[in-house]
Amino acid sequence: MSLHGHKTVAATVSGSVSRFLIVRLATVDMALPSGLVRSILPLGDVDGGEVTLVDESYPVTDLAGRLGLPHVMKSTQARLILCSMGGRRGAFPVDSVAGLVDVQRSQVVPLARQFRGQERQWFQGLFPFEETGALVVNVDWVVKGADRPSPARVEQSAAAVAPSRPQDKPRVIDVGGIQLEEATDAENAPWAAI
Amino acid sequence: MLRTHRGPQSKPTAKTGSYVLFSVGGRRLAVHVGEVGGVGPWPRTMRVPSQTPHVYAVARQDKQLIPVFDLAERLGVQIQGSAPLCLIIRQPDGLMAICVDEDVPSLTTIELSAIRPSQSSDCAVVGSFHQGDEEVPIYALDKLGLETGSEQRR
Repeated sequence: MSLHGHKTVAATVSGSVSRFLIVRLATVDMALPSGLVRSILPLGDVDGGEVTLVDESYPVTDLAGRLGLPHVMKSTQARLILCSMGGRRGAFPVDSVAGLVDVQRSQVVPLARQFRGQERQWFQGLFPFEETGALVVNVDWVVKGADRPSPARVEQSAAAVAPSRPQDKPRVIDVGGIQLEEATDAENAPWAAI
Repeated sequence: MLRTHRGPQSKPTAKTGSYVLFSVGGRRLAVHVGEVGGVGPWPRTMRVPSQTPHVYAVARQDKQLIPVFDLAERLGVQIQGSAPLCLIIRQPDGLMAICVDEDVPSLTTIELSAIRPSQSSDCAVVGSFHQGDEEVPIYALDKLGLETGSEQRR
């Protein structure tokens, strides 16, 4: 299943609430401002390099590897997240997509000052989520790193790249005020349950 | 969650200091009571991809997420016991959680004159004192991690 952004989705739901897409890399929950997410594709279609969606190319970056996490394994839950920010675009594989969450802005806090390394660039902050928390990914850093595309180190068999399928006419799903388009290959993404 | 006992050398009239004794990997360590913000069961933690040595996670404390300092890793030991405890320490940068052995930490009062200057190469050790047959190092927990590059601090 893939869901294409029907239009730019506002990351801010209201003045005091922000909406995030929660994705999982290894055991880590990461939050992406929903307004920066352009699409979610099944990872099985992607072999690294670059993905084209609606005539726009998204260099694939190995976010897990850049963060020192285990590389994403191809599975029925694995997805490719397409993001854009400030005219830059990038895509990265994740182990799964947990869903959307609305968070009071006051709950989002910066990383504690005891974190003193590059992680201060990787994450814009964190907030309590489920039993622990979620890290807010700095999408600007992600897409800048995607400028130099390298084959995403995704463990897989030998699937051919299926860039994008602009010919597939997606249908619109209304997800709690967010309009998303479902591609014809959509079947079992967690988004469907939202 | 602290046991209290008075050190054998304590005298009401002498200058004394209160220290929390705890174990990490079977090693007894002490910190000044003023640096300790609390002790409790080890909470759920979340890994944080990090390049800061020994700081790789945050622990959930009520609605707060506080960084975890892996003191066991720094000491090259492994936490003992199946029910480790969480020692919350106060640092200038804020609270920090340290995983300690399941032995319940104790509070002891000792004469300041019984504290020996540090002979340790570990910059976080500020002194030591004898308790029984054991030499217990006193850690200044606010110095943990500083040797890893304060130039990176923002």
